[in-house]
Amino acid sequence: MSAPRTMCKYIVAVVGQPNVGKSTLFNVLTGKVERVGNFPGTTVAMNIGVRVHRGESICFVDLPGIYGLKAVSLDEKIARDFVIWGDWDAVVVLVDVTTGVSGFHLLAQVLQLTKRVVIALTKWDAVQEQGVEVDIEKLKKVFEVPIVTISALKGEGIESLVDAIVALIQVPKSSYEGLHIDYAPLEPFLTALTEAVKQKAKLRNDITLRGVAVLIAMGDEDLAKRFNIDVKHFEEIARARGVVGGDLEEYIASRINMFLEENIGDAIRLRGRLRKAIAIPRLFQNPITGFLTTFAILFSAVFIAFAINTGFPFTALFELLGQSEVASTLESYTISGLVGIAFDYLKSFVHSTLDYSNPVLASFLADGVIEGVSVVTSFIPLILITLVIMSAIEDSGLGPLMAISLHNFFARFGLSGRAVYPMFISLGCNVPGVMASRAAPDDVERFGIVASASFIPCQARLVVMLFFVGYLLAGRPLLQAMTIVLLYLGGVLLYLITAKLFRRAVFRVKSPSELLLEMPGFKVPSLRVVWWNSWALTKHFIIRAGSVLVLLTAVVWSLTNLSFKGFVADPSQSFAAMTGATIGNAIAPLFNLPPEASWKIGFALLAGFIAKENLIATLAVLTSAEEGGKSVELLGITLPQGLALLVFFTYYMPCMATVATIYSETKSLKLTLLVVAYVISTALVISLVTYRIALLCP
Amino acid sequence: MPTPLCNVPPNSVATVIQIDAGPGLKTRLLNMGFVNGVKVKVLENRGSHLLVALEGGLGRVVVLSRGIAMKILVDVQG
Repeated sequence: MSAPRTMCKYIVAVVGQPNVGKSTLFNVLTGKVERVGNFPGTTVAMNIGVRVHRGESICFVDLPGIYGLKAVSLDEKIARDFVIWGDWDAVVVLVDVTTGVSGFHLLAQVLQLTKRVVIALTKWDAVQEQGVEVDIEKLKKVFEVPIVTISALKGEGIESLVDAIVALIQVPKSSYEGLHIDYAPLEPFLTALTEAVKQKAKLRNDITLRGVAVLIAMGDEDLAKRFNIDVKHFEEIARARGVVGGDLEEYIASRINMFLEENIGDAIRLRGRLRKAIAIPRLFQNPITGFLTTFAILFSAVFIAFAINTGFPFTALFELLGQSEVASTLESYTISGLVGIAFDYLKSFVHSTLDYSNPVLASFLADGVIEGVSVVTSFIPLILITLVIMSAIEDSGLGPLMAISLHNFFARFGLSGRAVYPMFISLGCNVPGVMASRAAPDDVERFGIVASASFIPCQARLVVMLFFVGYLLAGRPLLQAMTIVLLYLGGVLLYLITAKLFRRAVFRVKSPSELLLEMPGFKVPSLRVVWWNSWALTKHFIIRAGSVLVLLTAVVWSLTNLSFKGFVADPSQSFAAMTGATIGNAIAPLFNLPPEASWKIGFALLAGFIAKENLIATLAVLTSAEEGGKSVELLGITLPQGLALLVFFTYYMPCMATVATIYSETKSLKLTLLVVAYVISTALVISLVTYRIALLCP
Repeated sequence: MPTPLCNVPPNSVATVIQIDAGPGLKTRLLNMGFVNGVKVKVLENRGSHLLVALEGGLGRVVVLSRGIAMKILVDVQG
């Protein structure tokens, strides 16, 4: 029994084209949406919303938004497979009539497979406002399935929709034979193909074989393989191509379109409607102002998210002005400050209760486990706020505009304009930056972003940069500023080059990323949808990355508190220190580091893996410096060494939380390790180059 | 006389004749509605990208980069 079947009496598959309003409908239709495992054979989450209707529970399965069923990406495959083989009692197809006849293309493909369908015409409030007239009776006659008009925004038509669905399920028709579209000269070919499908596999008896044959004829090789049909060598193909003078897929698509035009073209009167002109605003047309506007929007978004969460950059500003007390007070009132206080309280509670009886356990619980949970929790508000702001921007329709204005620039690096989101977010923190890779239009680009995001210096690394630069280049503010700017530009460049590299080398995709987007027009973002999307992703982070993080924190605790002698109070005796020494000694010869400095640096690198901010604190502790700046001096390194170290510290490795997020997004240990290895090696090379160049300068 | 969509000036209507692209892109375009015989109105043509509306300007509005517009062959109405 499939998971949904154990939860509900009826299972309904919900499918529709992108921008049709599926999310909004789901929100209004179901109480909460939860994940019930994955779609069979994939790593894509299957989300279900449950609604109780007159005492019966109905599970609505959210299928990906797709323009057609023929599989060109995982999304179509999932939807196609669920419709053909899934365990459902009815299919709801959402259609936005304001998009015209092309909005019915997906419906036509589904109807050819089965008529156990209810059509929901969405955004009905907008349809009426615009003065679009729709002859619903005509549509019913043509498609021969129930049709309901709904306005998810106004909450109208929802009950009728569910009534229609339940009626369809409870009162079975004698036949659900799919819609028949005449493909004229292709008929003999289709008949033969349908026969082949029939021979090869067992299907639900309410799935029409011809519908499957049509998809295969359109070139769905993946589907053909499932039936062991080799379309290329299929005898009839040679004759079929000759008959339609070329591409079968284009021909079939045009026949479907013709069918729709002829039969329902009149039923939808778009002419004379009041549609707000959809155009690209002046601001985004000019490549320069478009670029700047997009930057401004994104920069403010990130700024707001981080200010609310950690008080940055205001806290940093106050610190610089010498107002440390103001800075720390401000921080204690931010979200992360409050969370920090709560967890500190918890930790001291554990210590005070257990320290007497079992100090090791106390330390493990407080500084290991609770610390781990505290780290994960500290990211939640940040991710949530960032996602909420980004989703709001997307939902409002600004997304496509920003993507357009940046597309030209990013295309050269094998990225689409969408790549700018993760880049900006990473400026604040790499964790939500890596998560934002989901905005990418395809998996190749998505992975490219996941691999490159770590090069963008995050807020924590800025602190490290300021620290080093403050000491190394003391008294030379211009040089300090330049160095920091260079480090940022370097990060961006590395980001772009890495993305292109991964695209070419790892995925062997030569073509540049192209832009093909529907412009949905502007609207006020729906808070419910925005919240729903953001929370779903955040939950995903908590569960996946969160568990890895808590585990890693426990490991770190073990390394810093244990050694061959058992529990040690002095961290410089622990496994971590030994590891730090090994790392430090490994890189020391490359930079001619003095031995006393190398193990401290190695240890600091390890600490920096845990959290970038720790780098400085650790150095301070290890060099017994009373004041921050002194620790760099006490290391006894030269200026070129200092600069090389600065570069290495900036780029060397994503922090623990980011690595956990990379793993949760790629779901592959191999890929995660690959990315980490790549980042470390690149950082090493660049810092070596920096060292050599710095040595040459007077 | 068939010409690539990217060459069509703004405010003109063109009829789709053929799509000359790889399988993935072709299917996406067809599914979105760039089918043989469909009338496409060019709303804006910025060289690097175009804004078009299907069904003679009444239907779906799509933005596409020049690279993609080059692969859609159309016939421009008078």
